[in-house]
Amino acid sequence: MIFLQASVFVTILVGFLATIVKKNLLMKIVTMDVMSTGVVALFVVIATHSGFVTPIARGGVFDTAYADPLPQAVILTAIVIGLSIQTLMLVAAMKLARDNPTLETPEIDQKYL
Amino acid sequence: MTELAIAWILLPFVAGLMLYLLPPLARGLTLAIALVSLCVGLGIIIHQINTSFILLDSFGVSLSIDPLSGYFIVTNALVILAALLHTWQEGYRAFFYVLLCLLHGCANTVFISADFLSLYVNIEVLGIVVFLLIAYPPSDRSLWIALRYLMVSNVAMLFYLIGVALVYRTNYTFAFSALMPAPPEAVALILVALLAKGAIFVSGLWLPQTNVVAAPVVAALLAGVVENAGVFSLARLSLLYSEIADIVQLFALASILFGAVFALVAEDVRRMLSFSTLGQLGWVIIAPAAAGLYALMHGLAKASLFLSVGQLRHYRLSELRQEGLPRPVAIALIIAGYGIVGVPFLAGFPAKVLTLSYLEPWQQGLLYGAGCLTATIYSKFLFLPHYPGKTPLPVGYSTATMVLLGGLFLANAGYMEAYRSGMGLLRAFLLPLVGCGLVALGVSRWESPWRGAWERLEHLLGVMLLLLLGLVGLAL
Repeated sequence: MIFLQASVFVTILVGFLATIVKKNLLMKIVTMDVMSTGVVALFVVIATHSGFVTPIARGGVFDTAYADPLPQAVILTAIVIGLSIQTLMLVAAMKLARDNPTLETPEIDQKYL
Repeated sequence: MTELAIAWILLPFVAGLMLYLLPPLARGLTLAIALVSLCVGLGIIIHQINTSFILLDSFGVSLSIDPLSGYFIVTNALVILAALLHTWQEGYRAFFYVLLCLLHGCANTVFISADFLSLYVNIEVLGIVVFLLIAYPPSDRSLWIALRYLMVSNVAMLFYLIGVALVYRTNYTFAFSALMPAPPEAVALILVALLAKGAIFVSGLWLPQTNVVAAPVVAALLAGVVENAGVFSLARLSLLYSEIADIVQLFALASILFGAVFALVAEDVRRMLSFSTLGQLGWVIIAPAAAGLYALMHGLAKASLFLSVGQLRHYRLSELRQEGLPRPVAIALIIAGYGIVGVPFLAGFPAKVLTLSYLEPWQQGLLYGAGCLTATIYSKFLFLPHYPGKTPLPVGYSTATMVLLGGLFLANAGYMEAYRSGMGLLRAFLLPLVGCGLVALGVSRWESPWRGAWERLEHLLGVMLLLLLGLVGLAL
């Protein structure tokens, strides 16, 4: 369990650091997605505090150790929002690529800031 | 009561989505929504409504309405109203009004939400709407600035989600009231996100260039609605927990001094106003009990300043000193600017007196110093040459400015006791004098077009990491 949590945090950290280190705009968008995947996984890991079984009652039996449904339900919203933001960022990158074919962020920053 | 509140929350979203089908109704519907929210906000303040309720059951969305949210709702409604009047005859597409409605709805929900998740959802949607608003003028430059905003806000909100997950792990609820037994890193993660969204201290450095590139009406919306939505939750959390209040106060002080100094040396008027916004947002959260009135005052005054700046043909102060500016615009700039400085008869004065009354003497001293700098910044408008306008100003701009400045005057009613103290009045008249004196002595020669590397995307993200480390240290 500890190992699982540690790898989740490593995923988040790697995603975030890569967002800073990678110069290419597309890479930045992808690394942001890595970071958000880590966050989603964190919620799933936290949902296991009460058990591992999918929280669907079968045959009226309630005494199984079900996973907590709330964080899972909640993270669905975050996934949808993350998806729409990802899409918007990619569309913006597509439009920017017309005049900045390399999509190197330091160059774009220099040009537009 | 609950049903009415839900109907009022849903109204802007329903209207916003309906506008796509009925574009001719766009302006009328937006006007109706802003007026309804104005009445709701005023009703909350006047009747001192203090209520909270939970939708669905124990895991549901919890909302809480109090006079603090009332002030923010009134600000939101008035600024949206001004933006609407300003764009009434400019031929904006219905899409713009859809964004306006959604912005209004999200901000209202932020102001009454009392759990971390509804706050998250609304701030995220607000971020998307702001991205679309900044990118509204079709150019690569505005697209890049909008994208930069979206990236910073997305990373900040991911930090926020991690913090919320840690809060949930501690006591299995998302309510604001469950924050404190949570580990310090959860508090730090949530605070770093809210500081970035609310544009406080160095995490607000995305703001200056955004205001330069965005359309004036969008800059006004940013100052009047979007940043208020960021700082509101900081004020709410500081009211709930004294530990958080201490940390927030530290950042507020840093932001006030930082913003004032950089506004003083900025050469572009829009950058000057943005840095001043950074400082004024610090004022909003330094005394959370007075946050409502201060946010109302600052939102109205700053929105009016940005709309007025939009009427100018030059933006550099050195050029303005040579070319001058139309007299009505100059008058609007001076009134709104001195409103922020805190001259009596405008809402800035009672707001400042109320804020200072909650602070320690040493903090008051620092704030008086920052107040002198603010007075200097806005006294620069007094020294600009002006000429009688040859062409009449657009009707939309004039009515929008009337609404904002009228609101700035009427908001005095929020704390009339301020006028009882003679010393306070004397000090308030002294500040603009000090400001004018400093401008006359020639502080304007320090202006420079310098732009730090810290406004680049990587640095904005990196600063967030540094702040996070610092905040964990503070929260331990």
